[in-house]
Amino acid sequence: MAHGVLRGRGCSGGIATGEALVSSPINFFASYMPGILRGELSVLEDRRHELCGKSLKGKVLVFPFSIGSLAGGVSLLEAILRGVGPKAIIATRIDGVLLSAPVFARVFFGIEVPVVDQLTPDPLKTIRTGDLLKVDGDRGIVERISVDGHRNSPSIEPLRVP
Amino acid sequence: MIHLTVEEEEILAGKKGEAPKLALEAIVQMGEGLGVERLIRSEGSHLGNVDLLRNCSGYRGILGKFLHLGARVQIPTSVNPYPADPKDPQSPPIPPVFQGPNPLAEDYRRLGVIPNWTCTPYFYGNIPRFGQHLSWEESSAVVYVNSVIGARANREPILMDLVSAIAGRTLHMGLHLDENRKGQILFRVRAENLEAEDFAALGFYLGKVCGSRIPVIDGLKGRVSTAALNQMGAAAASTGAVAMYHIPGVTPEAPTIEEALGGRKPVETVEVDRRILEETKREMCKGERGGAVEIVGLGCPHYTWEEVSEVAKLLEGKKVHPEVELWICTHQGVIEWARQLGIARVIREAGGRLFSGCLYCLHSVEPYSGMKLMSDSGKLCYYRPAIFGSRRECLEAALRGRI
Repeated sequence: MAHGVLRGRGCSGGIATGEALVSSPINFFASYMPGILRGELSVLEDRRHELCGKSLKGKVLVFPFSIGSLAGGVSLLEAILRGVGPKAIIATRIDGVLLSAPVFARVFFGIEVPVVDQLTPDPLKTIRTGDLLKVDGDRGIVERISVDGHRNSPSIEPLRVP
Repeated sequence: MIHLTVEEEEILAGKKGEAPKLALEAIVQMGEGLGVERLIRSEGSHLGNVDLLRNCSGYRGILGKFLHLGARVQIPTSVNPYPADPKDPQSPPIPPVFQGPNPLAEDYRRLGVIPNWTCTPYFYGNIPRFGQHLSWEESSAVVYVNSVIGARANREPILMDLVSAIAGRTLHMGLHLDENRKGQILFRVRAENLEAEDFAALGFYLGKVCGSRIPVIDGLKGRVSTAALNQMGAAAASTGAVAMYHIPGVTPEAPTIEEALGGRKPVETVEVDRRILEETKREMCKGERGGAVEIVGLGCPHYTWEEVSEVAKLLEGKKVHPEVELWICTHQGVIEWARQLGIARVIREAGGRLFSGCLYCLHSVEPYSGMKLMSDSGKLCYYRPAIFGSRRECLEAALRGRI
């Protein structure tokens, strides 16, 4: 299954399997704070974002990086703790704001949300929304189990690993 | 793998208590995830509480855990503003979501946090010196202390500010390192006689062009006030992730353009003329001028003493339109001085509210979020739908009731 494997850097440990949701950069503060204030956090609510109104619940978030407020991490942490956050995160590059959510979730609440970055080949070019992924945050490895729901479909395009 | 000192190993082993141990564990895991080689002693922290945090169970759970372990901050640690002061009759009515006692206030008191409640702690209560390593949240404060004071701070995420204060350490990366503090983009300002509003617009423009890179701003020598820098940096840290800038001849790590750039060529040179500044000001306005204004908000970041004094001068003997809320936010120090010198009375008699609070927090929630806002703050005009104008234009709008 070597052609279905992406290798990168494990940033936060744990193993999780879920459906990919590919996204442009996300401002987690703008996305989650309106729901936090209302006391009914569930979906992303940044009106400038294409996923506005959608939920990350149970998904493997695949995106370039987080943007915006330094309260982004604490907002994402809130989504994780309330069970509406992503199961795992794949980023082009992580930063402190993004990483603070899974790290504080583990250290203070014992919840693991694996995070991997700097993957080869480029996940944004090879992973599509709906692909089933296994993310190993300890080893920095992502395994594509199936493409867009078609498990073991012969039409799976092999990933090219240089 | 992160390299720890003997003392840090002892903290992790619990020899300095459970609270520093837990705080350092989080910092070490962050460092490992980010690929940092070692930690550095932090000499001061600033907590980015925008009061919205009172609704975050995660944040409050972490604070609660630390308090249960008897945590105290190990270094001078200050805190961002609350939305408004319920005990001060000059404060606007508190929005329902912020009513009742602020639970974070008591938590911070027990931690030993300086209760200065300002986004400009470098003017009031937590004043760093050149070269000091800090673990500050609040993007506008970080850009100010790096650039104008020459202290060393990254844009710490919320929670990292807290654990750094309790462990007295932060990650040795980014702007803590000499080589990352050099200018990358050269801006040549070709406009003359820059006023406060031009600095706000310049900041707004810088952030858009720079992203997270460090600008060197040439052409401003000898005509920049700390208040103007305060507004410029806050805007640049909003439209971009600018954490530092250099102004040759003005900021301490930039005696010359060459030194500001670290002897390298700029990756890009950008000319800024009057046309760009005016275009930027139009871009900072969401919505059209004309029509009624409901809130005029000044002081994001908190106004300095000079700015508050100027407002009083412009308001003396005049009356704010009865349908307009004029809000001027500053820290408790300026408010006390303004009371003593009669400036607070001038503003109050004109119908303005001079109070310690947070314009952004107030205008983010009901009943204020839908109200038409005008401000001279590039930061506020980025985060909230607002009309941008100079301080004078804002005050004129407040008096007339129309923009």
